[in-house]
Amino acid sequence: MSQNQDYLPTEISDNEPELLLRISQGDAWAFRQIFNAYSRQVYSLCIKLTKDVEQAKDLTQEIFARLWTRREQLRGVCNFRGFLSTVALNMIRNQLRKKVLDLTNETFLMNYFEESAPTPDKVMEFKEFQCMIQEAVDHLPPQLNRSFVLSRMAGMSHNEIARQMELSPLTVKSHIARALTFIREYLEQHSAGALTLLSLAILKKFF
Amino acid sequence: MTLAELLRKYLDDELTPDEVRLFREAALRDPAGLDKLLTEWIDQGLVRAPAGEGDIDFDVLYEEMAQRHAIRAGGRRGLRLFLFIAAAAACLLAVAGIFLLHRSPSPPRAVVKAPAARPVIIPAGNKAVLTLANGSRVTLDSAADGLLAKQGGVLVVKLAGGQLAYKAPKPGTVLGDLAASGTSAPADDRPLYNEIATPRGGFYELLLPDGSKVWLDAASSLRFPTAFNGPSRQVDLTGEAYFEVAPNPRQPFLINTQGVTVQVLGTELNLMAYSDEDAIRTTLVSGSVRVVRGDKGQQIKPGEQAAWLHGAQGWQVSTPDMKQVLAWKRLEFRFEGLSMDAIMRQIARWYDVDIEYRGPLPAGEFNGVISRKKSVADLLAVLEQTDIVHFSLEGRKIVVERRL
Repeated sequence: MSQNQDYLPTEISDNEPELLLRISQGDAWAFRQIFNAYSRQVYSLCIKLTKDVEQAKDLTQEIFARLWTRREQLRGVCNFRGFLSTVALNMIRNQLRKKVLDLTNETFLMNYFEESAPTPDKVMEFKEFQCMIQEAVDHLPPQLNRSFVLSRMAGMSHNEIARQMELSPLTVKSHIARALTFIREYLEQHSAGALTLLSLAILKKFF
Repeated sequence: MTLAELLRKYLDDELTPDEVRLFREAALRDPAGLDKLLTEWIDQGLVRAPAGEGDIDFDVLYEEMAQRHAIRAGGRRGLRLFLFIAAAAACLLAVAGIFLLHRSPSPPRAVVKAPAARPVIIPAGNKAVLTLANGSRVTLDSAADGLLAKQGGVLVVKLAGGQLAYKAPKPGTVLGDLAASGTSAPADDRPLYNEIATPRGGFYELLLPDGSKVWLDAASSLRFPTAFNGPSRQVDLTGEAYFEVAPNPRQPFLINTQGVTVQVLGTELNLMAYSDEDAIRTTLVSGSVRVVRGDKGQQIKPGEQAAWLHGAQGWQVSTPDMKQVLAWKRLEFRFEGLSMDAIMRQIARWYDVDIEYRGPLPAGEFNGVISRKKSVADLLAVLEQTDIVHFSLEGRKIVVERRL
């Protein structure tokens, strides 16, 4: 996509000092140029470290917001990349400690690392529980729902889903891990009474 | 396993679920070590998602952040000079999007009146009606996501994004059995035809059984077989659509509209064939196509547009402004040198309104870009700033008067 080219940082490297000066004076337009140039790299770092699209988006926003609140320090910065890395690293470190490595996130991470493209068996198993699960699936946020439906109902691979939804395979994987986490929690909360012990045990196996 | 090994596997998505716990514990036990590794690896550029990662909408990301953290022009000096629009105008433009309008010969006056209160007519949304082979109709905007119908061996699925997809699962798979069960697939393999139609004020995106993607603009329709089994893939279009045709040299893709056939191999193109516009225009983005009407054929290259004007005897090839041709798909109105009536036709289709001209047509050409997500009142308020036209809304009718 041509969009990628719009964000190549080389485009702004010539007038970067000028942009930084303007940002330090509170120029939001100049800030936007810097955001356009570096946000993809920062996001790429964040998704690699959090494995989660939503967290990566939030973290990217917080990193750039931090740059903005510290904009006065940008005057005369000659190594902007270094400055940006330092800010980013501090925030990423916090995120890792407080969120990513927190015990409450362990289920998500385990789902993420377990998640691979579905085999025909997995699709079959899913179909057998579909009625029970459909309600949970219906409550998924749209993007997660779509990734999940394509994966489990249509049996598409991560790459196929990625192509169709114009997402990257990593994002798809993250979506599906989130969806599985959500469905499991939903089922435990909403249908514990209705499910037999056996089916709960089976659910645990698949989700 | 050392922390470094675990971290590397974590970053490369190679941990097993059991190792997740090991990694967590190791990282929490030695925060300084984790820190040192991260700093080094990030510096060396080792922590990077594969190319293509970054499929999110960065414009949205920025806007959310700018709102939440109040990032806006608050410069203490210098740049304010550029803010040449009065505060009232700035407010209006903030609502209306960035829009520059002028009329020839004289430039616009900088005086902007507050737009009068108007009923809000909302822009087009994801709306369409699907007509199945047996004639039954499904209203797609209100249909629940999931399986809508089985057509022959093909599943019609409404995806959560609102998209419609035709999937032909392989026989023998669970899904294939589901598709084949209880269907009335004709034994003679005659194709079943479905038609999807958007009303005025609607647009829709669908995925055909061959993987080709179609964006249907407002007031348009597409008729297609639920499976492409013949020597060619043939669809019928009215109105306007953007096609991303899945390549298949052995089965050319043919789009028929008003006596014109567009022959496609594998390509992206825009086809505008509204009957109230002056021509049928095929604009090629990539690949190669041949347009045919009667015995007159014309091949075009990427960046070119072939137009057959109503009443004309042949093809006209030009290199149009691609941004303008494809603006609708990016949810923009882009008027570059457009006349008032050309603009109003687009507005009528998108907002599902009728247009009435009282008195002479406002003359002059308009230039500007505005989001299609704005309300019609916002759009009209911006057009009125040219001071050559006045609009009034009567129900769902826009009355256009020339301002003297």
